Amino acid sequence: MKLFKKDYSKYTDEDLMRSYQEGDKVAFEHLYARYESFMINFFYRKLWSDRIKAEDFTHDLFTKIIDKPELFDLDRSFKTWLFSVANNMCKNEYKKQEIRKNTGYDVPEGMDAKDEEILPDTAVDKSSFAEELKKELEKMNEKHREVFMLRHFEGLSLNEIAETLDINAGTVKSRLHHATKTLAEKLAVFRNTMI
Amino acid sequence: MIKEAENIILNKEYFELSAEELATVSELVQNAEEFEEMKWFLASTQQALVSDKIEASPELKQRVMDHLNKPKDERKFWLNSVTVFLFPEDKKFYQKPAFQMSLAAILIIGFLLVYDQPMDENNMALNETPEFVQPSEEDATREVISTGEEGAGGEDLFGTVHTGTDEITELDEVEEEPAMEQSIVRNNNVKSIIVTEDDVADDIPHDGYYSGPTEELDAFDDVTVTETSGGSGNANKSNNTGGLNDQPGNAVTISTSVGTSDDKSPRKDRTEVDAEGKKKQKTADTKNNRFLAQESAPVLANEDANNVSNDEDEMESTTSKPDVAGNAVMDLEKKGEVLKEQKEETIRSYEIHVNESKELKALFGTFK
Repeated sequence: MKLFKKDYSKYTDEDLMRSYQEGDKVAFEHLYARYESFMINFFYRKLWSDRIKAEDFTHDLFTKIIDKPELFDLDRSFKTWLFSVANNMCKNEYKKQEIRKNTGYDVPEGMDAKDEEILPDTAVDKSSFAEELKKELEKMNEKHREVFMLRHFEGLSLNEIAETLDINAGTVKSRLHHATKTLAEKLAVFRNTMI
Repeated sequence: MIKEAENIILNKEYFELSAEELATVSELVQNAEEFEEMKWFLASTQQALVSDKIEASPELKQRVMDHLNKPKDERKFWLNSVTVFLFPEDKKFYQKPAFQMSLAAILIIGFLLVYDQPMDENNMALNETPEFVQPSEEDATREVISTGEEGAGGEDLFGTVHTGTDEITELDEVEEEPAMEQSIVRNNNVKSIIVTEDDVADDIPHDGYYSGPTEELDAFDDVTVTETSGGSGNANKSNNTGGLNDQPGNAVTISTSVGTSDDKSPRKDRTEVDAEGKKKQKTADTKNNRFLAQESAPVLANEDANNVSNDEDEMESTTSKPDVAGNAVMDLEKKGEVLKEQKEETIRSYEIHVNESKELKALFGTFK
């Protein structure tokens, strides 16, 4: 019987999704294994480094796929579709938080980053480059931030980012360069201390 | 394919770049120093991300797999919750919301079925308080009874009652009376008897009291008959008849002034007037039937107002038509009776007009 066992590792994401649409639950388990870490980190970074929220959103994302696999268009890339769904979930959450923020209740931690200028002498004292990178990202415009994060954190190519965000690839390139250059200039003070 | 400048910067040194790669990275860096800074930034970013990654807990995977292995029916949680709500297990059957809701629905539907009977018009409330707007003493004296000999299609009837700014058209009267009038005209040049109450309507007091007595109208002794013979003009009704009296042809008008100037009776209360009005309405109904029967008879065809001789000063003009004048002599008693009936009919129809106008106003007020 082992001869007839499917080797799911050789399946593409789209093939696995097709199999799941046909009722193969094992195919979905393989899909989940491939993207669990990606998605929880994506949500973790996008949702103010809240681990519990990231797990909840990851759970919701995959349960949506379980309940309605027919929503996936087999002609599309599963990876970009998954990230676009996740990105939309984050945007919805931003809207909810914005409403709560306006009412003054339950403002999530890290939501309102302080708009302080990093002075060179104080900045060098901060050893954590990662923290400053987060802060600068939070200050950044949303459209630039999401492109930068998808490129550098999730490792998507420019075309994949363009498909995920449903924008032109040239626009992605422009935004990415702008974000990279801005962050590099602001965090340049760490270069001398870290080298 | 878009070449990604970040990959070039991370994987190559500045002096290793080809012309094409240099053009690509020139969007981010302009010289070797900037190239090195960018390289350092990208590398640091990747290191920071690696250190910042989290791992999913096993519970998360377990929850997702549990959801995956659930039957589809159980995934419809909201339906399950509805069922649980409607049929809770720990309650008796009469305490279950499904039972209670269905019982309430049955009661409501049953109530609607039992009590939703067709409307019984006999049991409907009637507006029995017509407002009598009656003419003053002066106006009552100016009541005009005109007998007109009209041509074909004579529709010189009162279909419009002018009461102040309101204008109410009584369609029924307009439809009925022309036929009546035409039948009379066909019966050999007989003057139709038309009671115009326009003057009365124009000067109606709107205080709800009837200042002019109705019983005086019955006193035919005080009636002054005026005969007017129009040679070739329109029907000689000097009063406003709503523009309906422009029929060509000869006409004979008898203007009757009812002597009510000596009426000194005080104003009557509305209830009294109502009672009187009802009584008169009944009388008018019976008389009206008789009048219609008389009208259709050829007796009236021989009537001629020109034979009614009046020496009163109030007579405004007299026009006699020679071929009609010689036909018959009108019996004064008979004529008086007819006139009385006609007046009562007029009053009755006018009351109907007023009642309907009140109802219409009330209806419009409700809509507003």
